Formats: sequence, structure tokens, C-alpha cells
Amino acid sequence: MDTTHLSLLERLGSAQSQEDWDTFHRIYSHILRSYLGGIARTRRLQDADIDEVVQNVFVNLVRTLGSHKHDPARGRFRTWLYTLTMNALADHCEKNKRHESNQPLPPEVPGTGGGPGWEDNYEQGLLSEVLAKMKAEHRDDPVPWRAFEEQYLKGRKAKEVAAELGISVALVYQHASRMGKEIVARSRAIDGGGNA
Amino acid sequence: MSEPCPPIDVLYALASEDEASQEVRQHVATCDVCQKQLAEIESQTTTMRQVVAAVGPAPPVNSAHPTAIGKYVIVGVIGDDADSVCYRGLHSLLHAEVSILVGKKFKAATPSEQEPLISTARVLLGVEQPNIARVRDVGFLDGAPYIVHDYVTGRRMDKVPADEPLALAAIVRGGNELLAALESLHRRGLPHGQLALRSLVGADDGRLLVVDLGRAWLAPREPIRNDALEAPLILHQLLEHVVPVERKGCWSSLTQVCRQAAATPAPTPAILWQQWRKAGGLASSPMWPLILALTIGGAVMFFFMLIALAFWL
Repeated sequence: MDTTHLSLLERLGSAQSQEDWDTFHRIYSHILRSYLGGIARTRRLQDADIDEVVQNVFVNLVRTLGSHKHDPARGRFRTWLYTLTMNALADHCEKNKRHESNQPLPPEVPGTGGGPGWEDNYEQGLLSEVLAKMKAEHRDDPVPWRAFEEQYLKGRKAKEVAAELGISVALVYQHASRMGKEIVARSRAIDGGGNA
Repeated sequence: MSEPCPPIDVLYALASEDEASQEVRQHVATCDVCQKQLAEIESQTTTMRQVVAAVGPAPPVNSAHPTAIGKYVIVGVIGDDADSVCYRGLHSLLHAEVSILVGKKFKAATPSEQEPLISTARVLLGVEQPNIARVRDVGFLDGAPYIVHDYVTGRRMDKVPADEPLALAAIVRGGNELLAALESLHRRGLPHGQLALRSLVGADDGRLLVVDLGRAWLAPREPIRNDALEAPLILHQLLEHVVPVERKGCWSSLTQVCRQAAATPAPTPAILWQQWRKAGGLASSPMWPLILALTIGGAVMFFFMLIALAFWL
């Protein structure tokens, strides 16, 4: 199934299938939760507050996607999502006076489409999703993933990994390089090359 | 003629462990394409290692929670405990916000098992009371019964931190609303049966609402709890949030009512409701102003009649 960012948004706008919504919800709730978790302390937000803000963002997204066609020429999706999130956070803090603090909402950093750390958090969220998905895909054939995970992600010696998995050192590098290339390609595809 | 560029996996080996032959090293040292590729690999490796270390893995692809239940899109989990899981959702076409309570302790897999539950649910759908979130729909998710309510925006009372103060006036009003709602249910022969702090939401408009009517319906084989016993326990917990400076006047009387009712439950919520209203200063009889008005009116009329009689004579 085509899971590029724009096609996913288009499908969600026209008719929400469970699989599309599942993918969308998993990717973006992880990104939002992680970003809001980073700014929680300054605004005295608890986990329950973060949950509620994230849910409010999704409620707005579901309501908007039905009538809104995303046009990348008018701005990137990640910028729109940042604006929705900050509006939901501001509403939540306004409603629950206990979150009032002298800390203003994070200002938008010019050229990044979000506040400080938003862009990095967004990219990391996409990468993290691709890693989880590929790991799940290799459940039945774990050797390539294990080779990649142990040698590439954890930085272990290829010789050790090869001995552990019973394959050659050259094959460990082949698996690691193939996986690495595929992960980068997939995360770019989800994000529409960063333009969406 | 120069050496051909090494395959990508050899560059990965060079980037990660510097394990490469002398020939490869010499080639890369003089090849712009390989140097660029090597730098890109090193950068990607660093980023991915940082992601794994900092962010951790994304949630599993097959999460324990569904993303849709029937015609409702799920946007998040409100609560999850041993008995049930509560989701926040939206009707996929109408976009009405709902909460969906899915039972964990009972499954009705066949239509014959589901039929009695559906009959009972029809009664729940008819309950309309300002302090009870309206039941909108019921269904079965892989045999587990679920019940759909209007979503109430506000604070779940079980999520209020222990050290957070609540205003006494709000508790007096909220207790009055809760007991009125229970009295209304009992009058219809529909006890709540699983009342707890998680059942209550302080809505944004100031009302206190019971948001899980039908929780007992989700687990028909579980014992039903006595609402007239659970309500004072809940109200007592809320009274504990009152700050010491406000613990005067009716606070003591209300606490006393809760303690007595917890020790000897009232036979119906209606009696407890009367006691709460009296202790909270809400029980002024609506007959007194009428009696007073009639007495004054009668006295004035009698006075004018005497004057009229005096003139006539």
C-alpha cells in the first residue's frame, strides 16, 4: 500500500480506512507526544494533559481532513500540524488555569515551520516509525534485521555479529547497508521528500 | 585507468569500523563520489543511533488498542483498567464526539447471547437527565460489549491530583447533582451499579456528570454495587480536597453525612440526597416563602377590609 504522506492525507480526506487511520495516528501521536513531553515541564503539564492535547489535535484533524484538501504549495503539513498543536495547547492551558505560567508558547523558528526542536522531533518521529515498521516486517526472517540492529544501530563489531548470527562478515555489512538505505528512502517517502 | 568504486556495503564497513583494505582506502581518499557517499553514510548512522537512543522505538505497529470501533474513529485512550477501557472517538461521518467504554470481563459471541444485553441497552438509551452523559449506541467488539456516550469535555474526577484543592461550594453543588442523577436512575429502576470516582467528570460548563451509565451492563455477571453506599464514599473523597481554611460551616456536616451513610447506607439515594441538601444548606423548603406570602397578603387584605367596613358603617 502506498503510504506516502500526501497520498495518505488524501485518502484520509476522502474515506478513512482503518489501516490509513492506524498509520496516521501511530506516526503523529508519537511525534506530538514526544514534542509536548519536551515542553511539559515549563508549562506544568502532566501525562493526562498531554494525552488530552494530542486527542484534541486529532479531533481537529479528523474534522478538518474531511473538508480540507492539503495543498503543499500553500505550506507544509508539518507546519500546519505545529499550528494545530500549539492552538490546542493554548486552549488547554487557558481552560485549566493551573497550567498558566509566564512561559509563552514556543515561538516559531523562521524557516523550520515550527518551534525550537519541532523539525528535529518531526524527522526523528518519522524515522522511529519506519524503524518500528521494518522491525515488524522482519519478524519471520530476523537475520537481516538483527545484523542491521546489532552492527549498524548498536555499533557492535561485524565479526561478533557474524559469529552470533552464523553468517559471513560481508553479509552483515550487506544487510546493514541495504536496511540503512531502505530506511532513509522510506522515511523520505512518507514525508513526500520533506515538501509535504 | 582508475579503480572502480567499491560496493556500498564496503563503504558501510569503512564508515562503521574502518575495516577496509589498503586499496579501498586509497581509492576513497582520491574519489569525490565515494567520499560524499561515505560522509552521507556516517551522518545517517549517527542520526539513527541518536534516534534509537533518544526517542526510543515507536509504538508497536499492532497496538493493543483499536483505531476504529464500528463507525467511530478512535483518537485516544481516556482510561484503561482491569474492568474496561474507555476511548475517545468521533463518529466517522457526523464527527460527533463520543466516549466508548469497552468491557473486558464478559464476551457475548453469539446473537442469542447478545440479545438480552441489547434489550437492556434499549432502556439505557432512553435515559435523559442533565447530569448523566447520554447513552448513544451499543455494540460488540469481538464479542466484548461496548457502550457509546456523548463525550463530556472537562476533568475526570479520578485524575484530580490528591494535593489539588477543590472549592467547597463546587462540591456541595456537584454532590447535589450526583445524588439527583442517582435518584432519577433509581426511580426508573436502573441503578448505576459500578459507581466510582472515574464515573464523574466536572464539565467545562460547571456541571458534574456521570459519564459511564451502563458500566454494570458491560459485565452482567459481576456483582452490582450499592449506589447509596458508593456515593458517600466518593463525596467524602472529594471533600478531602477542600483546603483547611474552608473546612468550616457545612463542611463538617457534609463529612458527617458521608461517614454515617458509609457506615449505614441509606436505603435509596433519595434519602441521602435529602441529607446532603440539608447539611449543605440547600434544603430550604419551597413552601415557606409561599406560606409567608399568603400570611402577609391575608393580613393586608384583612386590614383593608376593616377600613372599608369602618367607612361603610
